[in-house]
Amino acid sequence: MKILRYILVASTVFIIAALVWWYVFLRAEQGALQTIDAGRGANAPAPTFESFIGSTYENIVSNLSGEGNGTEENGVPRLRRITQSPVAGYGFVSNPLGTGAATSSARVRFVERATGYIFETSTDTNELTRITNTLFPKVYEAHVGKNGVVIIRGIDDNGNLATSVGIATTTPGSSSPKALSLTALSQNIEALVLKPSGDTILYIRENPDGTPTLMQALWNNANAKTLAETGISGWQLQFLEDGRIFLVQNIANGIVNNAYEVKGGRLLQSVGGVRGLMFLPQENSESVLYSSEDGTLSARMTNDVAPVTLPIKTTADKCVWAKAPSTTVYCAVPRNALTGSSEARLRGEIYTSDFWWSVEANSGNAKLLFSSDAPVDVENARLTSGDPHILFMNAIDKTLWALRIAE
Amino acid sequence: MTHRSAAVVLLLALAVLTLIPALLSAQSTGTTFGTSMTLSASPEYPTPNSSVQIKAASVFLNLNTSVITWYVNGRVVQSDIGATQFQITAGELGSETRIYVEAQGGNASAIAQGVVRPTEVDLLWEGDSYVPPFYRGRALPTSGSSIRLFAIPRLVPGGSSTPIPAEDLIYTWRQGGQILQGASGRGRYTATIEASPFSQTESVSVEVKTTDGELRGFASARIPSTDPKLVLYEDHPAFGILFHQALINGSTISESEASFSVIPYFAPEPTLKSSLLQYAWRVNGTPLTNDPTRPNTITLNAEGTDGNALIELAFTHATNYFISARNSWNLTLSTLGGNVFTDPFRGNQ
Repeated sequence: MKILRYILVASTVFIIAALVWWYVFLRAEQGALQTIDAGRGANAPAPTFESFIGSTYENIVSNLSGEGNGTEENGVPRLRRITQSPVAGYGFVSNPLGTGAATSSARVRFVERATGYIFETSTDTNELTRITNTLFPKVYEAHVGKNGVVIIRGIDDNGNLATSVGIATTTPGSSSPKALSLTALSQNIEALVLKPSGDTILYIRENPDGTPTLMQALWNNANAKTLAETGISGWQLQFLEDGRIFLVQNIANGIVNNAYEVKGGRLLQSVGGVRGLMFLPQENSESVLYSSEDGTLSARMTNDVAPVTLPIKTTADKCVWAKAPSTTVYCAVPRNALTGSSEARLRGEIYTSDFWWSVEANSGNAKLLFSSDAPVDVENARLTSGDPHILFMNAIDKTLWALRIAE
Repeated sequence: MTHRSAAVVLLLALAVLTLIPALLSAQSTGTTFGTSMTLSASPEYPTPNSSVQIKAASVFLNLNTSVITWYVNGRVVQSDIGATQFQITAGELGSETRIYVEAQGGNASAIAQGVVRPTEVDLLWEGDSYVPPFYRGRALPTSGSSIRLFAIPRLVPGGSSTPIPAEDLIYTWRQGGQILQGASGRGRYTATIEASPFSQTESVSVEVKTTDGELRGFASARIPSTDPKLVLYEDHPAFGILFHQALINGSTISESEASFSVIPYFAPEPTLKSSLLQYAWRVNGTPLTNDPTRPNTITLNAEGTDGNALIELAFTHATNYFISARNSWNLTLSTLGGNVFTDPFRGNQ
């Protein structure tokens, strides 16, 4: 009996010890899992998988509170960071995609850089909806069209550019995210741009003999045709909704470069001989905005008038035109004078910290639009139609932001 | 023959000899001196709406003492003694400005005429060197790399608004003043040259003209050559290479183990994995042997250390001894075994 008692006590102690060890072991594994999950860049707690949307949604939504500046409208601050996670690109989709009545707010879709998941939000709400659940890691660049077309670009194991296209037709009202099927395009595509409508792509292709060619095709690369010989491959492409196509030479410190409109198979110079040229044409208008590497910003309202130098110092790639016939331009202006080389900014060696100005391009009148302490280096800015917001990415951390223009 | 007769004959001979030059002189006021006056324009290849200085010169007529009358498109615009220069503003592409000049000095005169037809030629270039995907800057040439050239001419015949097709024009390419015979010719609007390893700047130019020589354009460029620029980025397992966030001395990495990729901007090879590119890594003074399939990437683990990593790289080319670059980065990695983590996209600058 005594022995039985000893056995019972020893068993109990052993079981308790085993349970304690198991608890410690699980704690250590959970820490490792947290590290892996946090490595997706959200500085968020480990996913609980409680929401039917999924963990990434939780990661983003849980960090939205308090991430805004300025007066709030319907609970949405005037300047807000839409994502905590870096995005590869974004675009506006039809409002909504083929269902229901249009609303005044703009619907925005973005592609998460780490996963390739597509999310959708609107400018009048803090809500996010995940549209797709197909994992595409390490997306460096993404384009989204109004019709739901998405183009994803990355780098394969051999260091080659990889481009894939697909179409995400899921709407926010659907029950759950859907799989996204992508089709790979050829590997010799250099620069690429999607028309805002999403139906057409433009890209520079390197031919087998090394010569570059400007190509145009439907979004799935069907009906590809040559538009023009470009002679060099280092171009920034701009494809406007009104169908006009512009090429801007890649910049280098102290070197002049040019911007061309592609017409009839030829390159027609639009602006030339400017050091560090950045160029921004206005939709449905002859007006163009351009800047030099020292931040001198100029506006030319029509082809036959002299350009006007604007009173703010910034680069044209930090600006957006209001819809024609308005002559207003919204620009992110660095707090400090542009110093350091343009190339250094492009290589990620230096950043700017910007606040927003509104400028009348024909008269040069400028006024401060919005200023906050949030460190943003504005890139890839676009204006919504209807309820005017400026969407942009922050070059510092590749997050997506929205600024409501009206106070 | 009497003395008187001889004198008459002599006088007649002298008279004839004197008159002949005078007769010749009178006849020379037309075409003979007309072709002895020349016109030159500066710039030689005027562009639209540019200021053009026209200068008259003559080796037979002293223009400084001559009355020189300038006509532009048939209209007198200037008439003065010694007015050997005149300035006009070139018109738009496709325009013709006709210049006619008369010089009258003493018993001599001369004419000259010409047409100013403005043209434009853009000369675009880029180095055939390595830049990473999605980089929005220009590829610059390095020593021994190729340079791609592309001419965009705008030569518009008089009275037309349409430029002559580029493939119908004649191109003469020059590098350092020397004609590149192999690259020049009809329709040769692109060219590829080699950057000299001994020069920091390449001077290139292209002259473009129509087959009849009526229209001519010109463009030139001074193309700087550079050494490869080594920039270090974190190669994140989820986000890939963080091209937007170059690492600098003093950068901190939140993980204890991290991979880093160096991008040798403007290396004269199309891919970083080329066996001709040589990467000699050192970490805290110790040479590092890394994965030969990813020679531009290293992985460091700082667990159990103070976290400080001095990364040094010597970059060379196996066959081009002019390609050489060095850089170093003093980084701090976490030492806490990877269970403390912050967003890698919080800039280090």
